[in-house]
Amino acid sequence: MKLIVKFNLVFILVFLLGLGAAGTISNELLQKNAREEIVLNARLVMESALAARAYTSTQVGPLLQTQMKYKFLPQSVPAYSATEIFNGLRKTFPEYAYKEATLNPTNPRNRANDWEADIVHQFRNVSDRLELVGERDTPTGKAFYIARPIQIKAEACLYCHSTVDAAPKTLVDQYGPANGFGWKLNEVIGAQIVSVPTDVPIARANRAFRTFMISLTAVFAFIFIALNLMLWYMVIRPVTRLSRLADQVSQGENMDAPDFEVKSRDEIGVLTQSFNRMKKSLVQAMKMLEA
Amino acid sequence: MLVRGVTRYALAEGVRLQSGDIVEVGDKGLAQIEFPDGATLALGAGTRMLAVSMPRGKAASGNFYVTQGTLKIAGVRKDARLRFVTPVFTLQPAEGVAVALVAGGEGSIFVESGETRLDGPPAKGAATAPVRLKSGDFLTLKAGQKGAVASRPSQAFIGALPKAFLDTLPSRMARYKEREVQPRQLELATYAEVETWLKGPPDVRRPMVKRFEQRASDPAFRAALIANLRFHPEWDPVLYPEKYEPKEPAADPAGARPAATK
Repeated sequence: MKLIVKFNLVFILVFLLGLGAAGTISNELLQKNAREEIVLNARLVMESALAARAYTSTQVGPLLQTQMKYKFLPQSVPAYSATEIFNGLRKTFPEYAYKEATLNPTNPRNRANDWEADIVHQFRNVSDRLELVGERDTPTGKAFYIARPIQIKAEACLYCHSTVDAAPKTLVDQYGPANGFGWKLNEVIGAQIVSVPTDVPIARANRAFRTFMISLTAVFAFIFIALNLMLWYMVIRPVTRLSRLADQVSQGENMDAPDFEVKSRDEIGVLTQSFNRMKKSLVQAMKMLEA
Repeated sequence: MLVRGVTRYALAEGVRLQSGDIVEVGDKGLAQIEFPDGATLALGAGTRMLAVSMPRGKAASGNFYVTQGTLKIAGVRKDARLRFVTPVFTLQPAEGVAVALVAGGEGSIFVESGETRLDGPPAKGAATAPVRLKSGDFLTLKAGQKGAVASRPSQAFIGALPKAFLDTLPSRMARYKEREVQPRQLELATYAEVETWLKGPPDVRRPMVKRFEQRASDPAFRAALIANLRFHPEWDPVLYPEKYEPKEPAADPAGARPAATK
């Protein structure tokens, strides 16, 4: 088996092992980062919604108190403002979702659907549960969700949601007397649910992985070609010429041929010089025998 | 616009209102009057109001006549003595915030908070029982008629109010506490500019005779007074004083004089 073949076999084996190890490690890292990004995104959305709620209840609501005596303004409701702000965000990121899913909502758009109602019931059944996370299939692909309970912790909430008679007239005018009443203090009435797509970050991680592996393979291929060329010009070609001349000299042929040209001072150059000296010694020995 | 005495002035922020002042808010304007105790009176676009009397004191007090427009009275305390007479009703806010609209012989009132007393217009006050409106009550009525109290204001009423009335009125008084702003004098008031008040109900128009008497020497003003004399007959002695001069007794024939008796 020729030297170059042996060299290339070893090189390819090392390359494949290296590529496999690098691929496995990088893929795991990228997938882990993608999942962390998904969770981070979901938490960021949740915290943004909570910030919008707090801003509305502490700053916007009091400013609108007088206007509320003339007309009910949903802009003063924390759940409404959080949802509206998120709806604005969805124009750019349509695959993200935020909902204040409620079993008996005042605003019908907040009514919990089947899977959201299941989450609300889980919070209602286990009172100290503060968060639920999970994955679910959606028409646009897999989605990761974080859910937190909406619990009535302030008496002020019951001003609008205890009974129809106690609620502001303007609120009843806007939403009617059928829904959003009968809430009780400390009752879990719904859940804030944030859904973020898992497909997008995972697809991004997969793209990064493919790019990385293609780049790594290209680098290996370049190194492979470069090493083969170097091996050919620096080792195999001079050794082949040297061995061919050595063959001829050993058979007594071409004894008058000029010395092999020494182009370098490396191991091949030293070997050539040694061969040239050996050839001269052999020619002299032959001449002495002939004399 | 402000009419003080017989002169028209341009209103500016910070001007102190006086008894007898007539305030007319332009079609796109908004005026606000603040009292020392924090009570605030806002007048919407197109409102015409006469400050009949404004006694000085710590508590908000005054007697106003409003022919038309929108007004919001806020921050009224229990010791305030405010009275707003309109062609439809007489409004006496007892406490809190009330908003009223008077237009075309119909009036509406909404009590944002507190309590307000509503009487009939002055001419029919004795015949109409007062109505006490509490927070959230809304009443629409035509002159001389009884309206039904509703628990929320109508959309038509809300739509007719200036947007600023739907919010809490911001106070601007602190800016002018130490500074007195004088209104910019324009010209003498024309008949058209004070016609509403000259033709108003007797209580309003009678004091106007003395106030605008000097304007009767203006030919245009006088001509308008004469043309509309049937709406304000109390101007007749001013316009035609000769009619009211005491007549000299006619010279009796000597023989007809009765003989003195002892």
